[in-house]
Amino acid sequence: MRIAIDMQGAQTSSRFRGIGRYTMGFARAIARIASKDDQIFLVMNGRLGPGIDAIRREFSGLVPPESFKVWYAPGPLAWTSQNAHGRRAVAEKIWARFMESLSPDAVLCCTLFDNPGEELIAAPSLLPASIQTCAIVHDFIPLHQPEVHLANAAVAEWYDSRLEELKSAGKLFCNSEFVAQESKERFPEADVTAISTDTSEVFRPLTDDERAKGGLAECTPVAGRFDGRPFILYAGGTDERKNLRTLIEAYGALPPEIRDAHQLAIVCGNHPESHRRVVHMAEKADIPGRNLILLGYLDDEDMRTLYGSCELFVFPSLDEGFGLPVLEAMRCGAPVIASNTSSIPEVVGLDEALFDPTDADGLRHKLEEALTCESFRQRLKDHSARQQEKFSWDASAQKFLERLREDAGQPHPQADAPKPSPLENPEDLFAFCRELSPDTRGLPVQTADAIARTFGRPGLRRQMFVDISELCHIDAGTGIQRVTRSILAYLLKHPPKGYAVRPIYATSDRPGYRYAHRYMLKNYGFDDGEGDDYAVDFSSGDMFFGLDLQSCIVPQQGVALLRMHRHGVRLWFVVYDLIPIQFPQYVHKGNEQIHAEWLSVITRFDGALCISRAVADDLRAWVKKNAPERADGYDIRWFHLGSDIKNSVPSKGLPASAAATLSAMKNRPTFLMVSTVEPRKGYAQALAAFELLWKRGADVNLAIVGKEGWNVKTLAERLRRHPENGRRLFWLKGISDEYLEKAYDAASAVIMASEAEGFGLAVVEGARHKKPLILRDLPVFREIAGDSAFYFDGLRPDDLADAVTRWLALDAEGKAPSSDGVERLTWAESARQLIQRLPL
Amino acid sequence: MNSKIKSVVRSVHSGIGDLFPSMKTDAIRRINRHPGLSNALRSAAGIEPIENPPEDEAPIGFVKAVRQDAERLTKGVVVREARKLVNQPWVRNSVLPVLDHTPRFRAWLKRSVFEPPKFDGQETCVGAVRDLSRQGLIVYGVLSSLEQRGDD
Repeated sequence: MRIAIDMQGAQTSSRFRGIGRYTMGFARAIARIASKDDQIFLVMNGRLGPGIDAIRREFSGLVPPESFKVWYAPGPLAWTSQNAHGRRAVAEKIWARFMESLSPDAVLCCTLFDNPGEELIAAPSLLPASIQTCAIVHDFIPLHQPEVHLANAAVAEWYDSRLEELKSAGKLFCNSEFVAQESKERFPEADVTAISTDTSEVFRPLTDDERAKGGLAECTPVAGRFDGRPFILYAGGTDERKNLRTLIEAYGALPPEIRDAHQLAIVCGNHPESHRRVVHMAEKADIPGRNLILLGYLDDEDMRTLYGSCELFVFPSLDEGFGLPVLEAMRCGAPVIASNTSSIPEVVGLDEALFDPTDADGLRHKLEEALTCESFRQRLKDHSARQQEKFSWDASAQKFLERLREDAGQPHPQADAPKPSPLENPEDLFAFCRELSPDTRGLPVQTADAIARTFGRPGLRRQMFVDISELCHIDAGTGIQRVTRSILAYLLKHPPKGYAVRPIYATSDRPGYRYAHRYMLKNYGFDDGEGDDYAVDFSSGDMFFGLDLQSCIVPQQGVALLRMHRHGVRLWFVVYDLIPIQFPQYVHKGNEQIHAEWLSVITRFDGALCISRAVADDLRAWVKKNAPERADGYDIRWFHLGSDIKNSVPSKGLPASAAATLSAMKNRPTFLMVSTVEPRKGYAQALAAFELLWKRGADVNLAIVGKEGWNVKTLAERLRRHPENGRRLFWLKGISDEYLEKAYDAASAVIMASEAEGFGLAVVEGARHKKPLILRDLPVFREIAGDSAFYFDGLRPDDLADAVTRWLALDAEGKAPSSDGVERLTWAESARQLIQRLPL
Repeated sequence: MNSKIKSVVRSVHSGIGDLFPSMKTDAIRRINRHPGLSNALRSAAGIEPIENPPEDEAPIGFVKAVRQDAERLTKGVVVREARKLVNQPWVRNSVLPVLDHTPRFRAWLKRSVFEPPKFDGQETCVGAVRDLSRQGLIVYGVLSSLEQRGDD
C-alpha cells in the first residue's frame, strides 16, 4: 500500500505539545511496522520549515529519503490572517492535488484541528473517493464547552469548517473508545475505529541506579524545590476543564497531619496567570505556602523523574479525549488515581482508582486512602505496571493498517483515478491554474513559485548542482579556481551515474541560485539547455556541491540553501582550509569572522569534503567546538587534489621575456616557490634565507611564481627593488599555466615554506614534474609527501638557508629524497576520488 | 475597456508602490479620507470597497513620505552596490583595510551587506518574476493569462 501521512501536526507550534508528539509517534510506528511492500510518504507543509528539519531528523534511517515530500503555498495561511480565505483555498487545492499526485491508496491526516492562528492546511474533502481518506479524532472538547472554546464567532466558524472536513474523511480513527463512541453519535455514517494511543518512549520507570543517584536531587529544574517530604503530583492545565480547583480543595481539606506530611506539586506551564490562579486557589483552601510547589514547563526527562518520584499522581480532569498524563505517570510506575469521566476510566482501567471529579469530599477520601494505606498504593502501583502494557504505538499502528488493508483494492466504480502532477502536460496545468485562478488574484508570482516547487519540473534528471559562483563572477586565478576549473571540467565530461551536472552560481544582490548558462556557454562551450540564467529548479534527491569558495555569498544565500535542504536536496561543500580562523594574523581583518560565518552556515547542512585529511581533522575540531550538537552528526570526508596542469583547463600564453627568464633559471640551481605572495607563505623568510646563501657564496636562483597578495607591500617592494631581481631572483606575477609548466621544468627543486596550508598544490605539481621537494614540516605536507621530501623547521632565515645548504650537499651526493613516492593524482583521478567519496 | 483601466491602475499602483512605498501609503490614506473617490478607484482596480475612512490611518505627510522613500532608495542602492563591490578581490585587498579606520561605518556596512540570514524564519515564496525558475515562469504565464482573461 502507498500511504501518505500528513505531518503538519508535527510542524506547527503544536509540535512541542500533544498533537505534535502524537503525529511523530504514530507516524514512526506506521513506518516501523509497515511491510516491505508498503510505501510511506511523509507529507510536509513547506511553509513550516523548522518542523521539516525536526521530521527529517526523527525519521532519518527509518524511511528512505524519497519518502519525504514537501508542498508549498503562498501565505500567510493562518485562519486569523487578514484576507486569508483566498490563500487558504489555493493552499487546500495545492495540498489535495499534491496528495493525489503521489497516487496513494490512503491519506492520513493526523490532525485536522490545530488552532486558527496556525498555518495548518488539510482538505480531505477535495480528494477523490478512490483514495481512502483517514483522519485522527483526538476529541470534541470545544463542542462540550462552546461557551468557553467557541465564544468567538471567527473561531466558531473555523471549527465548523474543520468539522466539515472531518466529516468528509472516509475513515475516522480515534485515540479512545470514548471519542470513537462520540464520533459515531455525531457522524452516524462515518467509518469509525478506536486505535488508542501511546506516550513518548522517554516515559519509563526510574532505574535503581537513577534512584541511587538521587532522583529528584539530580533534576536541575526542580532541585531545591522539594524539602524531602513525599509529594502528590498533578500535571496539566489550570483551566476549568482540568478541574485543578477540586484537587486543591480536597488536598486542603485533608487532616493536617496527612496534608502536612505531603507536598502538592503542580506542573502547569510557564504562564504567570496560571500560577497566580493556582496560588489564589491554594490560599482559599488554606494550604500553607511551604506545602505547594508550582512548576513551569518541564521537558520529558524531567517529567519522568517527577512521575517516578511522586507518592501519588492525581488527575481530576472533567473531560478528556484520552488523558495522556495518566498513561505517562503509569509508564513511569506511579500510583495513579483519576476522575471517572470521559476517556479517563479506559486509560486507568481500575475502578478503585477512580473518583467523581465534581465531588471534592470524595476526592479527599480517595487521597486520604491512597496516602495512608500502603497496600492500596501498592495495588495502584502494580496495576500501573500492568495497565500501561496495553498501550503501544505499534499496536495502534497495526490496528490502523489492518483497517486500511480490509478496504484496500476495493474498487470505487464512481471514483475518479488520482490525478498526476499538473505540470505533466500543458492542458493539465491550464486546468489546474483555472481551478485556482479565482483565488490567485494578486498572487500569481507566489502561486507560480509554490506550484513549480511543489510538483517539480517534469522529466528533469537528478541534478548535481556545482556552485561556481566565484569563477562565474571573476576567475580570481588562485589555486582554488584551478581546482574548480579542473573538477568542473571532469564532472561535465563524466557526470556521476544518474546525475546531470549543472553549474550554478549566486550573487550577493539577488536571492537564490541560478543556472550558469551564459558563463558555461561562453567559456566552456557547454550548453545546459536552459536557454538563460534562470533560477534553479530543484527536486528532492538532487545534490548541491559547493565547489568554489565563496565565503561572502554562501552566508547571504543561507535562506536559499536552507530552502533547498528542506526540500530534500543534499548540500555538500568543499573545505579548502581553516586558515583565516587558525591564523587570523595572515588574513585581512574581518576575514576570520567571515570564514567562521561561512563555516557556521555550511555545517548546518549535510557534509564537507576537505582537500586533505589534515583539513578534515581541523574541521572536525572546529565543529566539535563551535557547531551546535546534531543527533545525525556532520559528515566530514576528504579527497586529494590533482596536479596535471594541462588537464585543469589551463591558461595559455608566454610573455616576450619568458625565454630569457627560463634560460637564466636553467643556468644555475633554481629553487621554485609557487603560490600567492602573502605573509603566510613564508616568502619573507625565503628571501632572507637566499640573501644569506648569496652572501655565503652559493650561486643559486630563487624563482617566485605568484601574484601579489595582501599585507606584503614592504616585501613586494623589496622583491621589486632587489639587486638580484632579474639576475638570481625572479618574480613571475600572473603568468599563464603554460608558463608555469615551463618554470617547473626549469627548476631544480620546489620549496614550500608556508606556515599553514590546506593542501599545497605546488607539492604535487612539483612531484609531477619530478622535482625534489623542500617542505616545511607541516602535518598536511607529511600527509601528501610522506618520506619523499626534505623537511625543515624554524622561522628564522638561517633555518631555511641551512636547510637549502644541507639539501644541496645531499643532492650533490645523490642522496636528496626523490619526490617519486608522492601520490600524484591527475585531476581526473582527483575528481574520481571526489565522486567516490560523495554520498551520491 | 474596463480591463484596461484595471490593468493601468494596478500597474501604477504596484509600480509606484515598489519604488515609493511611503508616498504610496500617504496617497492611499489621503484618498481613503474620501470614501467615494477611494471606492471608485478600488472598483477600477478590482479591490473590495471600504465603508468608512479607517480610523487609525492618518496620512504620513508628503514631505516625510518623500524623505523616507529617498532614504530607503539611497540605502538600497548603497547596499546593492556595496554587495557587488565587496566581492571584487581588489576591493577586499585595498578598500576594506581603509575601512578599519572608520569602525562605525564599517560596522554599518557589515550589518547591511553581510547580515547573515535568519535561518529559523518562516518559509516564503519568491516575490519577483525575475526570481522564478523556468518552471515557475511557465506556471506564471498561465496564471497571468487566466487573470487577464478573467478580467475580460
